[in-house]
Amino acid sequence: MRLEENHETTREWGPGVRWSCIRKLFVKHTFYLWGGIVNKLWKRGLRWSGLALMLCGVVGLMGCGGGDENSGGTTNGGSSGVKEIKILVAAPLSGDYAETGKDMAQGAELAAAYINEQGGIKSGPNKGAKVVIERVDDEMSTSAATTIASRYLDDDSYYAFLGFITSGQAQAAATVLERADLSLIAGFASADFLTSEADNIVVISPSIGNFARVAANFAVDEFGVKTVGTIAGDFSFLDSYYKGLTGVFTEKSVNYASKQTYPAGTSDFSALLTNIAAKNPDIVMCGAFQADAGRIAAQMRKMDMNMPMVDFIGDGWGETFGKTAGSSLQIGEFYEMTPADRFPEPGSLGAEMSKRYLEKYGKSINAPALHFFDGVLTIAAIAEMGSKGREDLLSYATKVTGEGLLGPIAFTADLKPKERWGTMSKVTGNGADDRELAARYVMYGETETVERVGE
Amino acid sequence: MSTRAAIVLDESPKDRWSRERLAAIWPLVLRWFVPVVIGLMFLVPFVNDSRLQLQVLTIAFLNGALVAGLALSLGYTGVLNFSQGTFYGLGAYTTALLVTDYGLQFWLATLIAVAVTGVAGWLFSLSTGRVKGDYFALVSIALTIAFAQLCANLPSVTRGREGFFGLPEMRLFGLSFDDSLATYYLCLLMFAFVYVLMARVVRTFYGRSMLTVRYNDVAARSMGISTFTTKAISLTIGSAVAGLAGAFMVGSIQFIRPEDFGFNPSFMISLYVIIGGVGSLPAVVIVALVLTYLQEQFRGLGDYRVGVLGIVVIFAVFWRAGVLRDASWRLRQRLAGRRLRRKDAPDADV
Repeated sequence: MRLEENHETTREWGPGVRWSCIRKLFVKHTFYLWGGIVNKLWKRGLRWSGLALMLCGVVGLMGCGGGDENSGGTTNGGSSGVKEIKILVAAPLSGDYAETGKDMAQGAELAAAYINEQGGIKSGPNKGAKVVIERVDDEMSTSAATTIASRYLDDDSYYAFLGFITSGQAQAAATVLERADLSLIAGFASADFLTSEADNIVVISPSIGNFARVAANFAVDEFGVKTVGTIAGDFSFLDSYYKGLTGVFTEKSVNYASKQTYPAGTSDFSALLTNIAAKNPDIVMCGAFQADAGRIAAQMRKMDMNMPMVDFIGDGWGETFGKTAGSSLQIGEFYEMTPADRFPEPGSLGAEMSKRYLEKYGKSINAPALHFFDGVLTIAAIAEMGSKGREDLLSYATKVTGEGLLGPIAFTADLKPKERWGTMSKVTGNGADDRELAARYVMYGETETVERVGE
Repeated sequence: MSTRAAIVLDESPKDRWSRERLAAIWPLVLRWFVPVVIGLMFLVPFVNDSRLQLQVLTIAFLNGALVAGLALSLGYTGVLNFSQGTFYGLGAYTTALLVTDYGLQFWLATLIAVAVTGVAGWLFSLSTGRVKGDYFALVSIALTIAFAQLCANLPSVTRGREGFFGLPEMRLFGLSFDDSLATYYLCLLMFAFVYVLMARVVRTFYGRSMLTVRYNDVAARSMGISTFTTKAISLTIGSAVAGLAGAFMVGSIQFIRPEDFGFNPSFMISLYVIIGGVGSLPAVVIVALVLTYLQEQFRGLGDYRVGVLGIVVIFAVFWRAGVLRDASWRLRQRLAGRRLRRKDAPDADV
């Protein structure tokens, strides 16, 4: 049975919503009345009085624009009056990265549905509470991150704040939250400076330098490469990836011959690929989201660059990659990096959630969705540990244990994940599931190292 | 006969009286509206302690100061300048570097940032002295893109793509930027200072010269106005103001990254001035404040927010261009004509 039929993850009609509607109607009619008075004054020649009243109204409206009054991170919402844990989820829902943002929000909603299906929060002061997700568009902007953080501060019906695709946004939001001793669960952002510069951020993702270390180690172990070229989007988090790659290549005496970056919106990569081809690398490593990665793959093969292409960004190459790469996937080898167990055991949480995500959203679960799924699981685990409200989330973060899709839910004293899984898989076709296991890795949070496991 | 002439001829004496009264009072209202709003903004924290509203208004003040600076070059002088974001970023990065790496006090770093951006704006005006119209727009866009790329690819100075982090506590007039209320008042003070300064500048000889250059640079030259100097002054003052706003942005947000000063944010600032209109400092500032505020209020609309904002912008442009006024007049004429025809029509029952 589909999850949304049984379990509420969004607010429904109930006493809270009813009061909200009544309040809105009241405000609307007050507005009409006020407008009428201003109009009459204006018509009678009392323009300055009308103007003054209008300005008072503007200030008054701003005064009314504050957050809702509520209590301690949980609310009695829904028609049944069941306790809720409301999580504010910030993701880029508009702009160039809207697709990734929607994946993030959908991952969080899938986790909420899964938790609610199990009966909600299982223990602690919020036992029985249902998890409700509220999406908000962060526009991938730093200033928007600060206003969303302020919204969270204002409205204490929010139990937790999960968000952001870039570390800059997470850092800016954390600065605002720090003023009120509140914390942020950074879903996808994980630059190295996050945990060193702020002590109120719980980071769900492993150090992204470790993503690059997994891919670089795989390239060296699998192909014995001596010369490497990379092509990557000019993302704000790219420096952390480069740090990981450079570390491994320096240690293993690999010649990092060409490092090409492109700005957002690029569709012709031939000039950058020509530069890489001139260095004659053994492999090309690609740091691009799936649509760009597909185009790069197609253009590489068109230029007779038939060396293996290895992903190091770990965003997940899904259906879009297959479509944009087209028939180029039949030539040479392509390897994808996934910051999770790409081949979970049948019946495991990973296998079950992959299936449900595909059923519900019509696409394979990818890295952004996996991260936000684990973000919500972490918040639920913190609530189950005994956290009463959003003020004490951090004190429970280092104590939680559990199973997530990225690896075990457990954090170091620096609020980094202790362990995360990484999978390198070979692309065998254009479908999102046309993959073959190539290697499994474990990424460690405390030491920022990676280790190959299994065969 | 033009539509406008038809309107004037057809209007009743009462309507004409209203129109003339409005035309007389409007400049006065526009002139005092922003100072009154600024005065009222000092009271907002007393009636509303919402941190969201304070944060949104803080960002609105930064945008207001930015557009007030840009209004000189793009609004008054008519230079198609899309590079205000670059000078905003230059001011922000200069301040961040000075307070973090050199341990300077915020006020001193701000003064240096204003000087640096002023000089940069002056150099920019010198180097583009012979570039006009669309070509100036291209040069300014190129500068914006190049600056953002430079910041992203110079990690030893700017901390690279990931942004400038690790800023120390910053204080001004004994108030700390770590306190949201203090930050609100500091940014409001800065905005008020910039607005008053710009309002004075546009009333000076150079301010009036800017409008003359905008409308007809040949006529301006024939009157002895140096178009080059006028443009240089507008760009230099506008850049210095952007540098000041950038310094306060560092204080209020405490994190900067190259993307915040790329083409898109820079274009948005220019858009506020274009919507606000030619040679109207209060109008462009009001547009910046209102659109920044609305952007946050529409956030709950999710994906539809961009569309709603687009419609607001279209309406604003239609209103400024008189399209709505003409349309409403035509509608009234049509309705009046229909009523007249109905009145004159023979009664079917008789």
